[in-house]
Amino acid sequence: MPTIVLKAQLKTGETIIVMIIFFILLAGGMVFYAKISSYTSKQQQEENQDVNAISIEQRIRHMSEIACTTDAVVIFDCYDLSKIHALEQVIPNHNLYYESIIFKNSKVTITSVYPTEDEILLFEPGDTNQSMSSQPFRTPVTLYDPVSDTTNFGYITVEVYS
Amino acid sequence: MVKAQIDVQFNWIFILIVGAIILSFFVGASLWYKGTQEQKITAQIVVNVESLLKTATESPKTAQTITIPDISLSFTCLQECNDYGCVSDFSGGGVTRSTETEVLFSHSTLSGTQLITWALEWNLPYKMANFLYITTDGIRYIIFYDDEHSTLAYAVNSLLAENSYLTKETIKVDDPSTISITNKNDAYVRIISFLDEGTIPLTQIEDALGTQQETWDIITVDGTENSGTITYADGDASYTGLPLLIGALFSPTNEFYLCNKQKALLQAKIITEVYATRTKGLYDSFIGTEKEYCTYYYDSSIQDAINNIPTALENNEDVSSYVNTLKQTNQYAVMKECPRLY
Repeated sequence: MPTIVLKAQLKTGETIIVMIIFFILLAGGMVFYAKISSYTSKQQQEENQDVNAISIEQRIRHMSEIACTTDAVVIFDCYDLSKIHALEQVIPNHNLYYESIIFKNSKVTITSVYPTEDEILLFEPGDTNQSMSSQPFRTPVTLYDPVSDTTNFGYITVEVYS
Repeated sequence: MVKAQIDVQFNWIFILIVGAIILSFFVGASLWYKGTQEQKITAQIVVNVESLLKTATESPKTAQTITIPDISLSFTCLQECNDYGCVSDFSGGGVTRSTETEVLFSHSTLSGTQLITWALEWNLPYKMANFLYITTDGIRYIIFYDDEHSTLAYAVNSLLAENSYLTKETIKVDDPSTISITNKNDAYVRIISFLDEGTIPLTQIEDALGTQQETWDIITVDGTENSGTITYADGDASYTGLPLLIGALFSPTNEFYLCNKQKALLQAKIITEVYATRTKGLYDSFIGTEKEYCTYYYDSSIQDAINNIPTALENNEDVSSYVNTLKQTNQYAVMKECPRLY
């Protein structure tokens, strides 16, 4: 009689041990999954920041406000310096529109490289002190000055803040 | 012996309970994963459609077809606007994307795997905005016109002809009582009437196509290429320029059209502010230079013409005089080797 009881107790003990091992493995798996998820989401965040920078650059590329035009026909990859300076003055009147819709928490700088060197800070979001900046995304452009009728080479820099 | 039997039975009950818990855990986890993945796929489809629509918007005068997975897309635009946009979005499979600043004219629901996109520039005379029109080949557009309204009807028809993907018919009407329409089992039929309001016999159309608003509707257009009015079932609206009129033809309701028109006006206001500031800047730049004569093309009368355009648009007034002034000044400026106005 005592042998049978002991056998049954052993069986229950075995099951409990199997269960414990199973739950340890499950917990280990979950921890592993959580770590992988957090790493992936960090990578995804960085990727999103780059995609945002490209998307903002695309948006700037098609902005009617600053594009060079010939009788309303847009000249590709050319920006009119007189329009850029005008936009600089107009942005404060429509800050919410440019901050939340067009430039979306990013710093946009237009730099002239050749033959004259110049830098125009087109837009900078309000509070960037506590934010992390992404890698700057640069695109080469031509900058046309209608007053002197000259064209400069330069680039647009977009930095998206996280 | 009885004790041992109870122990063995307890052991089995214990295994059953734990097994059920483990099984339900995995079933739950897989159901959750399936739901998340389905949502993710739908979201990806909508994001892709959004990206395609953005590309289409930036390709003016281009009509194209886009193949998408078979989901129903809904478009809404309400006349609840702030300083830069209106409450507006498009959704598919429960995923919604905002279009609060994009000027996008479309039927309220589009189904099928083929979307037709078309974009036009709204120039008055400088580029104010790009308009995007979305439809499907399941929506048929029927234009009725008579001799009296033929000029505008021809202009609209030739512009629509640039989009070869549209399902469109143009019918000249000599006697409105003889109008007949064939039922081609279209998803929807939009009748565009360039006739006097109320001359189309609705009963004949109802006999052919079924109940109005469910499978078809009618809008009446009256005016010129520059401006005029559109009459929907839910009210009247005005347009300025053919791209806006085309937008009205693609809009399901007066409210949807007015909402998008409001978005266009908000953009026009900002663009105009940039052009007015630039013109003033050009005026100041040439003062005291050897090309001081150029200031003539950027003086206060020209700046006023620029500033008057958005105001006139908002008040539904004719802007053609301001537009012509700017067009002429621009031509003269080019002839005198001064910078263009636009």
